[in-house]
Amino acid sequence: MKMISVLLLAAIMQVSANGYSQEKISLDYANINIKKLLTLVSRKSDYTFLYRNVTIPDKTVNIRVKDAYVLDVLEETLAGTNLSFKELSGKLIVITPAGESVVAKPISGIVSSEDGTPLIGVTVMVKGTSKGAQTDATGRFTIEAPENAILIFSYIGHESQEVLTNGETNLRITLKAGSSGLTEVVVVGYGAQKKVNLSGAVDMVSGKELQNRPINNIANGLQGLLPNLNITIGNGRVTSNAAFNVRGYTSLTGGGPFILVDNVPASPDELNRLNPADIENITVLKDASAAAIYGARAAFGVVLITTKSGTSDRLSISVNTNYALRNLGSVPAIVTDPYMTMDYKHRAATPLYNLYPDAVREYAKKRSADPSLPAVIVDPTDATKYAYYGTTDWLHEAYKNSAPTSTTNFSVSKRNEKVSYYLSGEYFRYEGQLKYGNDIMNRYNLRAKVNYELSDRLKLGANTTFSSRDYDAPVFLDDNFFHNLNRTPALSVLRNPDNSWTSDGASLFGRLQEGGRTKNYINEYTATLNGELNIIKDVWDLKGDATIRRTNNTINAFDVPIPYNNGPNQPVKYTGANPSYARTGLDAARYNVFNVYTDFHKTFGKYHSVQALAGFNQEYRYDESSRTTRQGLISTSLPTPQLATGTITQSQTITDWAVQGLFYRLNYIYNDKYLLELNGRYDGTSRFPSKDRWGFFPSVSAGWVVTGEDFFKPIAQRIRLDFLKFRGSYGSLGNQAIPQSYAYIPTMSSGQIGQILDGTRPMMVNQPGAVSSSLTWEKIQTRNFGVNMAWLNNRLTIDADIFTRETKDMLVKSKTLPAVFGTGEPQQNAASLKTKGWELSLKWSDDVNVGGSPLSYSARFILADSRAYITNYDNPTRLIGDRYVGEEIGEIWGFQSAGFFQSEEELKNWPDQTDVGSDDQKNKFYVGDLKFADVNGDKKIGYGKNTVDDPGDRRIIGNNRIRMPYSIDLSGDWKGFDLRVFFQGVGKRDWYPNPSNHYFWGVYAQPWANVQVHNLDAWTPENPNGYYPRLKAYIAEDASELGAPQTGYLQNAAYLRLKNVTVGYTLPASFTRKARIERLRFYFSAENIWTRSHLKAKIDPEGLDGSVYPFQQTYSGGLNLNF
Amino acid sequence: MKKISIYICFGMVAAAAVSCKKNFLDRYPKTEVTKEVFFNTPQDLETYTNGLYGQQAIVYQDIESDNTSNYQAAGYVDALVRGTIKPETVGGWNDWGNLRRINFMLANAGKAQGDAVAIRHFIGIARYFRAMFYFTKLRDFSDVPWYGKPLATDDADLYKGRDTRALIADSILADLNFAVENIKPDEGNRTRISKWTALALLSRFGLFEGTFRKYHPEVNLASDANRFLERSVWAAEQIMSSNRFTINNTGKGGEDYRVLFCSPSLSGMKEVIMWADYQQALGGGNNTHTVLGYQWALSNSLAETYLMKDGTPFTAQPGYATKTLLEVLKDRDPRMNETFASPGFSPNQDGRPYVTKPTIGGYDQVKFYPRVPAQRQGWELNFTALPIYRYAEVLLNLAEAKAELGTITLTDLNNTVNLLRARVQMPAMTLAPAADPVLAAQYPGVTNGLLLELRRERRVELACEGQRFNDIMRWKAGKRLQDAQGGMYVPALGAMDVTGDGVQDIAILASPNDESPIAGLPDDVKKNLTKFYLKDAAGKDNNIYLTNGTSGRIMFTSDRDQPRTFLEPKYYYRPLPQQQTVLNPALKQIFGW
Repeated sequence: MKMISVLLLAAIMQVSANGYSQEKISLDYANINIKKLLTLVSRKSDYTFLYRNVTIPDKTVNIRVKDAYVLDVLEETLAGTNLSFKELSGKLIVITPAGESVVAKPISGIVSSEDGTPLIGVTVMVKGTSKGAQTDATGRFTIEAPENAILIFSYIGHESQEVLTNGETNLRITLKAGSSGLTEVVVVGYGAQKKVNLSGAVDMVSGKELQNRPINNIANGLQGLLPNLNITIGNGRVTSNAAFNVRGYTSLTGGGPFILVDNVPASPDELNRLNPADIENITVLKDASAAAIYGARAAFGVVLITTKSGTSDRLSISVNTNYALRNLGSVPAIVTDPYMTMDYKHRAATPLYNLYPDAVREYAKKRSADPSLPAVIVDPTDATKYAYYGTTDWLHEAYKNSAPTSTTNFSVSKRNEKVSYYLSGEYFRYEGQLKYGNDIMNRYNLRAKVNYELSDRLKLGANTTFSSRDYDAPVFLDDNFFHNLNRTPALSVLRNPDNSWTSDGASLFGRLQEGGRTKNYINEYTATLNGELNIIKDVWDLKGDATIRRTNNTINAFDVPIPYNNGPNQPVKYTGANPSYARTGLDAARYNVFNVYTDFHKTFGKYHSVQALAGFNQEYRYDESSRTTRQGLISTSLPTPQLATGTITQSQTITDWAVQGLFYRLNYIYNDKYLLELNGRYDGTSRFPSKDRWGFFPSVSAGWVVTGEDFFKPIAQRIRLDFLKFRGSYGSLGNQAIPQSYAYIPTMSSGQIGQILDGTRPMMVNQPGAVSSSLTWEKIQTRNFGVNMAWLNNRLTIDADIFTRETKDMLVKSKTLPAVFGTGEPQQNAASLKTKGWELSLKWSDDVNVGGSPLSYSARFILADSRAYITNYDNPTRLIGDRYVGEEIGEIWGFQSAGFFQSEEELKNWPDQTDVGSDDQKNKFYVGDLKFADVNGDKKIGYGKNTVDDPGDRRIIGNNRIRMPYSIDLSGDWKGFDLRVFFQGVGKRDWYPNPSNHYFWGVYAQPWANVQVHNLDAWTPENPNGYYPRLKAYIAEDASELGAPQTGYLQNAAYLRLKNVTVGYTLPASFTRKARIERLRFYFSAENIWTRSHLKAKIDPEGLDGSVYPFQQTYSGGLNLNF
Repeated sequence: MKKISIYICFGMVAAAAVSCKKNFLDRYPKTEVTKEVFFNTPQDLETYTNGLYGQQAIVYQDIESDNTSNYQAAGYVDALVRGTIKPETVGGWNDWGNLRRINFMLANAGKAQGDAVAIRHFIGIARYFRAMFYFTKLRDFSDVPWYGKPLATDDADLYKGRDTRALIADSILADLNFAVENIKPDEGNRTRISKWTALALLSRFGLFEGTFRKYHPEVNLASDANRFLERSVWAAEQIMSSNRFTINNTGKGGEDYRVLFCSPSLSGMKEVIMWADYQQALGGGNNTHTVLGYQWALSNSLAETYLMKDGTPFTAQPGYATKTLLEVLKDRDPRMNETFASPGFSPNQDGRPYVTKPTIGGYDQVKFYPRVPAQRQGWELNFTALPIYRYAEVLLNLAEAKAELGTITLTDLNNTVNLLRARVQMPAMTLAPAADPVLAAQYPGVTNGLLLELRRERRVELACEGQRFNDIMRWKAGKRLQDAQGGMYVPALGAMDVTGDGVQDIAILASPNDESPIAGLPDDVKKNLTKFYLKDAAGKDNNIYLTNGTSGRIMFTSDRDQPRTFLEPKYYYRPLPQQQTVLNPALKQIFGW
């Protein structure tokens, strides 16, 4: 009968893995067998039952208890038997013959690997308890455990082992080398596969990587986590969507990865609103073979996001909360000293304007010397106006130094034989960084996921989410606020002496604070119903799902004029919306997705494993957008078109598209050594004319697990290589990523004209653009070769891939036509490009013993690169500015800088630079101005014919594509403390600031822009080697003179950024369990706190444009609570 | 349970089959039209032509001409005369979308059904706009390719060379003849194109092309000049004989002239053939507040052109060249005080006078400046009506065309120019005035006193209305653009009264280091002085200088350091952007470019 007790034990062990709290249970059974009853009790409670030298009598009892303590129930059950029980620490209950006592005994032993080497640092735990020990340098351990306890041995790179002590006090344990990560199951298109069996280029990351980071959305958290999943975040605004890219430049028409959440396509906007805590894992399918099953939209990779489900038999409740303070990130520094500001602007504007005449500068000089003088006086040149001598740092005045974000989320999940469920909720609140009229976002997410087994053969499930986001922001924020912010001179002040707004104050902050606002309320409801039928159990399934998504965005906006004064006793003037208006709008989307597919999988004989999958997918999306605007608000406190009296304008846009596809996947695996996979899809889209609508996109991939070969095993052992797999794939996919739904139909836009004819502004219809009669899929052919390796008992894993991606028949404008054509050249399938790249991931993880406690740590380094070249383009004259064959995407054509003219002599003898001079400065050069090298030796500096063959004095001087993106991820935990340090960076990137980017060029773009602190290092006779040339306005406003790309001002935009540091502490379980808490962890996390950048200006390397919502550094604290 | 499974299984397959229906992927636009369902009715044509009104030029300054003292640094003419216009960098030649838009309608309007008169009316409007488009092209480039239809990507005509000036001018004429014949005479409130608008453009174009051919031997068309002048005369006479238009003369002199340029509305104004409406309530404003003291001022050359009140030339006054601002503006043709900011002009109508800015010349423009402060709400937020075609111009066109043809009579003068003179109570022009030597020097080769006086009259009456540049071009008076245009005269360094109240308002001084000329002034005067310096504290030149160093006319250092040159005949024509000649080698540069 001992046998029985062991079996029973095994059964119990399976189900009680996660039990903890000492909750009460309820039972109501008549004539129940004691053995069965004990099983039930253990399943419903947190206790682990151990049986020592006992035989459970075959006896039945009646039991009816409600909310009784487990121990009381046991007492009642065992009454009248010859059994008794004892509770040990760690929720162990040992059942013994009555009268026997339970004692803990020391157990010792030695742990070694299969080849007999002692293993150091193996963790030994008494199952069901937190009691543990580690093996020493000779592989030995000692631990106290009750008789018949189960010991768990775990060691990095090895399969864990559970051993029943069974009275033994000296154990000899051999641990088998495991394939650790390689046994992982990875989500792939329409299914899952063992990582070891993958032959395509696939990467997966667990949702845990996103946990506890004070991120606004998933994209923030994913940046840098996976090699060649490139996420760019252009600004610090909470509602901005990140751009996703897989493996570099895709197509001239654009096109990014296909993103799906639980197999339902999601837009970046929808992704932005997803609850990060819901995520179980994220898979990226990079090559054609892995992505082919998604066909036409998967040409540039697929990102599969899977949400959590109920997995534990135990009720699991988790509550997480996080509060973050965001500090203002990089904001350019500007000069605020009144005299210095005027002097620099004046000198820059001379001789074009007399911007601050001497008389005006005179007072500035006084005020600079004596800041107690008033900043606002009556204009010395015009008594009707104020003159301003302020020291306003508008760029900092606009923003708060810190602003809060808070998140609270919870989840409840459980599963049993029939039902599993996962319920979650999130509340996220973000208060913007604006000091005046702040922007505020609230996000609410609810998810309910249920799966139910109707029978052995039939499963049904539902996955429902409701997402709601409201965002309230000044309407001016979407206007040119960020542009004007740096164009408002530091000399200006916010308010006049009479406390009225100044012109600048009103047109910047007045409009933010008192002007109109836009409120967006987005409600999105997604429901998926899915079913699975096992036609032949474990061999053949039929699966189907249907999803409906409805999105509504209600927009309420208004704007009002802001009064200001620009002189004493002047009539009030207005800026901003004049007249006032109110607008209501609705964006509504309907999206229906339908999939049905069947999956056959069987292993024939011992070695032949076959899978076949085939299915059908159909999607339809309908977008409707309408706006109603009415001018002339009756009252600005009730801004609605209903209460306005002026002109009404309305608009409505409706677009829709549909796709259908038939897909298949065939997999053949021989003895886990040879892998072959065929994928394909036949896809149709409404975006192309019916004759060009359908395309077939096949792919093939193969893999060879070298370590599976007998001949290789001795070699592998010798070099400590645990796993080696080579993979190769080839596939052809399509891209239908043209932004318009009806690109092949020449449509005529309509609208209201700006002119007033006979007292009204009537409607007009415009000519259609030029449209090509034949449009079809771009074809993307990808070749991939990859290797996966594991070394040193799986401590070191190396994954690497190289790929070539050819994008053919790209939809681009046809060749440049003479301007007399009169409209944009139509799009045609006329160009090709080739992208080559590679990616590498290195990971080291290990457990060591530090100070008697296990320290587990890991370090991961990822690096990737890609470059893209045009291989076909209709540009016979090889005009620069148009694409041409051989062009590398991102290349910058520029001049060779040769310093500054230091003397009249030099100026006179230098080649003619008229053609590159700024026309605003009459194309003239003086001492102190830029000097360009005469590269082609024709005694003049110029653009030649502006063709590749005659580029004048320009050559390719750099490339603005992101190269060598990399990240370093370090983590470790020890004695309840955990630490993560995550760096992300770009290894190589050139940037030439755009003409008129005044955040970089400052007064060189326009004298109206602020004097940037980095502008101060300008040429003067005293400073002949300054960074910038002589002060000269407008030379960087157009692409000439300073605005013309040239070597001297090419910026190195590479950067390294400390994206995240998290320090956490988990309270000892023995302590928290008293409060019936499974796990309580406090943590501190910081984002973006350190950056290394090489830019000359204080511009964020991720937001080079400068005129964007500033990036922020985030410091947060939070706690995780699991019951 | 098995049954349920089977049902579900069938359901899925059935759903898949149903959704496979053939037209699932056929999706068409729902909120945009295509030409197949448009251009069917006169109403469609009207809606389409509404979109062409944006092409109508509306001008309220003469920046790029000798009417302005400081040419805008970035202006085309300024760059041209300084020799920095080159095919490699020149812009322009990029507005062919306007033509395509017109031609697209003309190519599709044929299928419209309904009232034939209405259909022809809207086709006429489209052809009016095409004539206007090619008129500008003809002025700027002379020979250009003519396109009468929207081009396809594989159209061989994309790569054709220039058509002759003769062909272009005749095509413009044909378009205008059609427009005149078919556009309805209904005027509405004169903000839409009417038959009379087309006639006004015809009168302008005929005069332009006729005189251009006459004065530009390089185009070799002098023998065919009169046909255009006669057509101009005919068009003007059509307008005159319609009796729908009169010169606005209520006996208030200058005020009758002023209301044409700064009224909230020109509805019902009999002198206006077409005007542009700007209303705050409808969300459309103009930028007319920039004419006063923003970045340019009027030229001394324009100031000298106005006659004295008694009809004698200002330039016949002794010492005219050294008169101060206050003296110059005294006793002149009343139109001068409606064009130049006269001393004491008060922008806010509160008695506080405007103080001129010598840094832009000193002669500030006031024509088109919205007088009522409420009309000036900011950038693109001025709400005054602007004339597009004035009857006065038609009369001037007629007088000049007839004078050029040699058929002008005193009756013609009395029915045209003298109506304009009478409005501002100026003496009438006679048929054979003596040739003013100053004018004769400005227009070498013209000795006819009447022609010279008509050119003066035109420059005065139409100042700042965008005609001056065209006139210089057609008269072959390009050398006018070569002269540096100065501002007001400064008799000596020190303080000056520019508002006419006897108290000094501004001071022009050598540099901040030398304020000796104003040292003796009373403190309360000195306190309110606006000071301007010729050199800055470091001794560097500011942007203006005086012709005699410490006295003289205000001139601009940029004109001294980078003198202007007008190359003839090259500069009467624009170069094509180099890229266009690379893309289409058949398209060649002309006249020395």
